[in-house]
Amino acid sequence: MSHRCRAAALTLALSTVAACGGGSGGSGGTTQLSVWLMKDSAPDALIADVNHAFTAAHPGTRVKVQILDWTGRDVKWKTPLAGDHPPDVMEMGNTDVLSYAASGALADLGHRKFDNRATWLTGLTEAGTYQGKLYGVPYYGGDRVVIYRKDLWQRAGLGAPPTTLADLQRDAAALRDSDGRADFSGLYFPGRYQYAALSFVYDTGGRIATRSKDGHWHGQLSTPAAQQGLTNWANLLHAASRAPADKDETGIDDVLGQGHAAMIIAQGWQVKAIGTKYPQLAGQLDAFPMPGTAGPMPVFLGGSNLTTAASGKHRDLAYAWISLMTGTKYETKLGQAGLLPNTTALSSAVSGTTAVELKAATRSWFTPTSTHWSDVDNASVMQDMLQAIASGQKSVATATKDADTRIGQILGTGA
Amino acid sequence: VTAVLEPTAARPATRRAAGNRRRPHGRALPYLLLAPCAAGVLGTLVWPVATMVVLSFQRENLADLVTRSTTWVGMANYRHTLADRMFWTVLPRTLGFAAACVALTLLAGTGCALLLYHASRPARLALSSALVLAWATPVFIGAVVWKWMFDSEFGVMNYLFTRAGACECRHHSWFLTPTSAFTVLVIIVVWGAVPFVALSLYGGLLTIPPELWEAARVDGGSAWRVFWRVTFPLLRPIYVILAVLSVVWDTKVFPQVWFTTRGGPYQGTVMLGVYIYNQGINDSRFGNASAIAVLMTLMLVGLSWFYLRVLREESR
Repeated sequence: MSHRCRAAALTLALSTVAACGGGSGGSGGTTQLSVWLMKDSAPDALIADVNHAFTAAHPGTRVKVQILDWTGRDVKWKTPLAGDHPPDVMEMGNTDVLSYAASGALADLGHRKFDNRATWLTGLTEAGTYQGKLYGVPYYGGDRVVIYRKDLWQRAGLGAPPTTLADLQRDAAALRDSDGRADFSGLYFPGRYQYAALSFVYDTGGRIATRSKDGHWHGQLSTPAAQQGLTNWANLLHAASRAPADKDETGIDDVLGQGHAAMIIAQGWQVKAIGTKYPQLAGQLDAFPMPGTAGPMPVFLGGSNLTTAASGKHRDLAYAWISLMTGTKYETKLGQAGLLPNTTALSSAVSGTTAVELKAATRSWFTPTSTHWSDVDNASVMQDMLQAIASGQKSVATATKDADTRIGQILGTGA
Repeated sequence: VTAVLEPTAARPATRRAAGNRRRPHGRALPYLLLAPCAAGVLGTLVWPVATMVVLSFQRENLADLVTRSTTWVGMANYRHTLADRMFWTVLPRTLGFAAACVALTLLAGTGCALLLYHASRPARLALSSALVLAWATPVFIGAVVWKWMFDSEFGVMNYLFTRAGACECRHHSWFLTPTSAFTVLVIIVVWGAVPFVALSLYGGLLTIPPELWEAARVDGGSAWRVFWRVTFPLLRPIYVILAVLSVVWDTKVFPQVWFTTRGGPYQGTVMLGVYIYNQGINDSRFGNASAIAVLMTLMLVGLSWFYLRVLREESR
């Protein structure tokens, strides 16, 4: 696409949002609430239940749900948010909320009432909070566990799941050696898989970046603690993984499904998804929490928050829908469907892998809360650092120092 | 590019309008006939470009966008861009990339055109069909297909290279270093550009009377000399057009990079198109991105002006 076309696309998009935005006009006496959710979130049947209950409680309203793809979501949000008819409810990834909250695009929901607010997962609450105000209501969480093949585990003669990183590394190496193929990984860990790799930084007490008293952000990856964590990570990779250094986690489920690995690190719900896609493995998959140097490894708490546009026309209805969806009743159902409920109060309602995940979520980390962190992400600073270490192109010391410099440049100049 | 062709396209129409001066109703007709095209150009080219120029003097970040506020910042975006180290890394890299792609495209295009001309009918049919197919493939689909072909684990390239005994390339990562990633990008761009060049040059070859070559060969010229002394001078105008068009196209390369490397690894394959996209769409600095786009447009307009001048000299 030429630069002119792109300029055209941008300007056209900005001016014709009314045509493609969430038209929430109240024609014919009914009010339409437009709800934009993300792909692979709550099951369709659950959403239908919520909408049914919602329209019963609010006669004369209709709910129009649209499902967005994760790739390219930013453009799809920016366009209607700049227009006259923004969607009333938007599901945003928890790493997305901050920059939109800071820009003034979202409405403050802090003064409203929600179920289980006191026991919300702290990682999700923090992700939805900017300058003390709540812009994103915790919707569901997700963290990563180790998914493994029980049959291969037995073939290698291994016993109980490992509880320390050293045990994991030993088991993974044994699994790799029990298979003759040169491309078989004990634990398949691609180099650019940042949300799994950066956990190692927090495991040894390191941080990605911190804010000093003057409000400036400083990369902390070259501190000894963080370097130690990344060294542990690199050692695990070399001992257990034959994944390429230049790939991220896309397609990792297929690697396990097609028998090229005995373990992967992935979200808990993927146990079921892989079992469905590869039925011959359905009974052979299980999960355990990622072990750290001492106790479980801190996990990155991903997930989604529900937000409403500051310029939305139906903000009370939007609040009503959000509070219904994130209330005890439907969060319980979300948990039973394999997603992490937004509150620790529902731990007794979930079982299996979801319970493993919810337990892991009590020790979690989150990306630095700078409103410009997404710029660091877009510039692939973390992924480039990890790839350089995994491929051996740079030492841990050099790669982390370079990453800290880049973080300083990007967060320092962010206007 | 449309803008570049506009003056030449408009000229015959105005001349005809002048000739019809005596018939009053006929005077409006050319303008009426031009109107749909003019409206199209205005709506899809002039207006967006004008908006882009206006944006380049505004701050226009995410907050400005959603609150619809306008903050004029004068030349600040331009000053920021010209002081940005990344811009001065990306600009020469883009130009170097374009130069390499254009040279290889013209070379491969010439080869294909000569082959088309000399090949037997079935071979010509096969080759031209292949060229047209490659050309008909949407750029972004082509990019995605190439990315998979060069995939380190599932790619057919590693398989073929290994089978052919060229290297032990199973699991070789083509996108591990910028140099290697650049090689793949050049292949993708050249692959997409060769068909147009080859078919244009083949068309040019068909207009050359064969007697010229026969005469040259009778005089004892080698194939190489005949090409440089007879064919190339006659095709020169076509080469000039193709070279300039290719420079314009390859300088603003975007989907081929975005759908394969996204500018990585280590930001090493970020070129102007990706740089603008990152600044504007990803980082919501629409003003800044517009300023870079304006600078790039000026650069390409300069090139187009050069192209028009050369064309005019050629026609004299």
